[in-house]
Amino acid sequence: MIFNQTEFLFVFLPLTLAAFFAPGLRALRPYTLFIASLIFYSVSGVEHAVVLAIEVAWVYAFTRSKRVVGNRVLLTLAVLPPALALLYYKYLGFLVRTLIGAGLSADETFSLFKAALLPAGISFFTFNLISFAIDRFRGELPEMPPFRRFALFITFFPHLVAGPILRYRDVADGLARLREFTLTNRDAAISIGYICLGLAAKVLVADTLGRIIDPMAHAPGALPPLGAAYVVVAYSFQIYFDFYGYSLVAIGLALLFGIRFPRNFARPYESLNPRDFWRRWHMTLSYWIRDYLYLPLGGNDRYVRNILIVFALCGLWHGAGWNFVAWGLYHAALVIAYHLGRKFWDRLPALLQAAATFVLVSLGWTLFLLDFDGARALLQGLVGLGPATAAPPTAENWMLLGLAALACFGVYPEAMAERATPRGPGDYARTAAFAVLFVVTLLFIDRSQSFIYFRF
Amino acid sequence: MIKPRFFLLTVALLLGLVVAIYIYASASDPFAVATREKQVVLDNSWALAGGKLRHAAQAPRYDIGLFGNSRALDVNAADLGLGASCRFFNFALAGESLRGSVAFLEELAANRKAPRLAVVSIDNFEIQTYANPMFLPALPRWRQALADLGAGIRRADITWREFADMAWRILWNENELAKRPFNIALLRDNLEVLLGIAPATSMTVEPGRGYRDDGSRTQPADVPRAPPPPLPPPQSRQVLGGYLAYDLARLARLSAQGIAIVVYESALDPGNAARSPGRLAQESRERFVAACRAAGLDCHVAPTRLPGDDGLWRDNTHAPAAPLSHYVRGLIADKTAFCRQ
Repeated sequence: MIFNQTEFLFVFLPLTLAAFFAPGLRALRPYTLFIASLIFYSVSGVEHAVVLAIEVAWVYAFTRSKRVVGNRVLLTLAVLPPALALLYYKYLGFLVRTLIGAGLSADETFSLFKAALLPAGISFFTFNLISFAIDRFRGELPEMPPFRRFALFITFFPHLVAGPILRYRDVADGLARLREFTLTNRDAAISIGYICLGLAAKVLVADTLGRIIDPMAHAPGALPPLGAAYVVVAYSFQIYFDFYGYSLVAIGLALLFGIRFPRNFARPYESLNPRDFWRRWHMTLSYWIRDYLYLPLGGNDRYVRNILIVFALCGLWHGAGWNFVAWGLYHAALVIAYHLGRKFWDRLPALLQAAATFVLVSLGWTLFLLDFDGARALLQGLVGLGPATAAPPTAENWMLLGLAALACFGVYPEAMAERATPRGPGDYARTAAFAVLFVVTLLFIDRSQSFIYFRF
Repeated sequence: MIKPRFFLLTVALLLGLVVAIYIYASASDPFAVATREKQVVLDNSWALAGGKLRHAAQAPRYDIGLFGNSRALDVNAADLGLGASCRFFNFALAGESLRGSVAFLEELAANRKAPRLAVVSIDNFEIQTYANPMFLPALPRWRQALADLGAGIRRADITWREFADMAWRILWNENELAKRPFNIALLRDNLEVLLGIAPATSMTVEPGRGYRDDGSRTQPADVPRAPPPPLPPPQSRQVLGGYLAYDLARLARLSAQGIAIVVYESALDPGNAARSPGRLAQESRERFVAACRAAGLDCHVAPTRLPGDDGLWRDNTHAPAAPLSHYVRGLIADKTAFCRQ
């Protein structure tokens, strides 16, 4: 199930809220949410929900004892099955293709893969499981939560399939107070704001751009320079509003149940340099990589080596393909280049720094959108080396891109959702505006696509 | 700050407005303005269903009506050779199945608009199409859903599995239909109609793919040059045998009210019709024949070849208009005496 589905908005969510807030069921709230989350996940495949449930039970079983603190054997036993499941579902085909031959598909090599569809969000919940086990190993979680709370931490539907990637301590208080939680008007208002703006970002902006880009990206070699530039910039906005929209909805949904998720984005396209970008884009992944990979590798002590390793792995986390690894290494190169030339870079005007960062990041997304051949063809088109047989973007396309840019740089969704204004008639106008935005979004929802980050 | 209750109220009002526009925008009868030469173009199956429902409500009772789906849509009054004294209308709705035809006929009968002779096309059992009607307005649809569930409990020939399958299909249908009004293009079209800035239907004077005044559809003039390839076998059983018998019993009830009814299984292209039937088709067909006999209905299994058929079909299941019309003409030849009175 996905957030931009009417079944989710008008059936699953109201029923879950009704069961959660039912007066006689207060004591059962953790179980209600756990069962609802499993139903949410099972819609895309019951067998995947079984895999998830087994992993949850396994990690809990091996981390519940106090003996796990400092015990590498128990840590390894705890994280190995989730890691192997991730390897099997996501990377084995890629490994086989890489090791045996580029021309072979996984299906041709092992019939085993034919039935092994990638469980939605496996990269996200595996990271949540691993972070929990490592926190227990490090002694950073001295109190083992009850199983129901741990299971809900992993499976809680707002973050299950595309994050934010959580650490247990991020949500421990909210999970512990589920039974006492009362939804205030203020929390409901903020939640509605996040959900409306997130859905609008996804359905109205990201999907609209996606419908323009898709046919252009099918034949990137035929694009004229303006068309190629359009694809590069429009995809940059599309992927941002797609994932940012998801994150806003996730934050809003969690708040309805009394749980505060950390922010995942902080206006990344206003970053002043590539390093700054990674502090603002998919922040929960960046912090996870920093805490569980970069620092254990030695952190800044071996800066260049560690940056190359973590960004290559970050690319691989996003997708099982060399184009994703190349994307990660491209960002590693940007970060290292900035590190080496920061004295020069930081003296540039801020606007130029931000513009240059935006262009460099947007060029990198081409490796997300296309394979190597497609990306090369697009870049050739961009510099005028392609045949340029395709039509350039229309005025309407440019206008929509302009609106997306306006939404990106001129709208502050978190501030709009969280703003507490004094009571007055303005509240009603503001509420009506949000209601209209929500209904307009619904009118476009039938043509909405799945979230890009669900693939990861 | 957003007012949560006011937000929910405003959203509910706006959604209600969208649904109201969806319901009330198309109130005209497109077939009243069509002729044989000047066809009416209806953009999608919803528009067709709505148009035929409204036409049925507004036009006098017909002598002969044909019910079915796209496989019966091309049958027209001229090819049937009925003459001016016999009023014919093709009530077939693209995308529907036998369940839709029975429901449509029941609706007409309830409003005293059922034709004197109803010819009902049921899809060839090789393709296993059997679904709940999508075109009915909410109240009759829910009434039918309750009746279907009641029949599942009451009738011994409907298995629990078929009952559960039917319950799921009802939910699926309702979910799909609930989503239908929430479509920006549809809303825009409906608003244009409501505001009087666009006609309810667009007309074409060129012979092409549109609907004639008798409800039948024209086909493009190009003729395929080769027979279609073999029909792929059905993926799963769709025809629910117990409910098929129940639907035929519903037709028998209408027949008892004085409506003459002929049911025929649609043809396959001659190449596929000559092949041995698949297991699912064989089982469904045997059930069909037995249920027809029990209900006392005039039923016909699929012919192996239509009269005058050259085998050049556009696909495996949609017969060319002329041979199909000739076939239907043969089925009703001895039942149209009232037209000459």
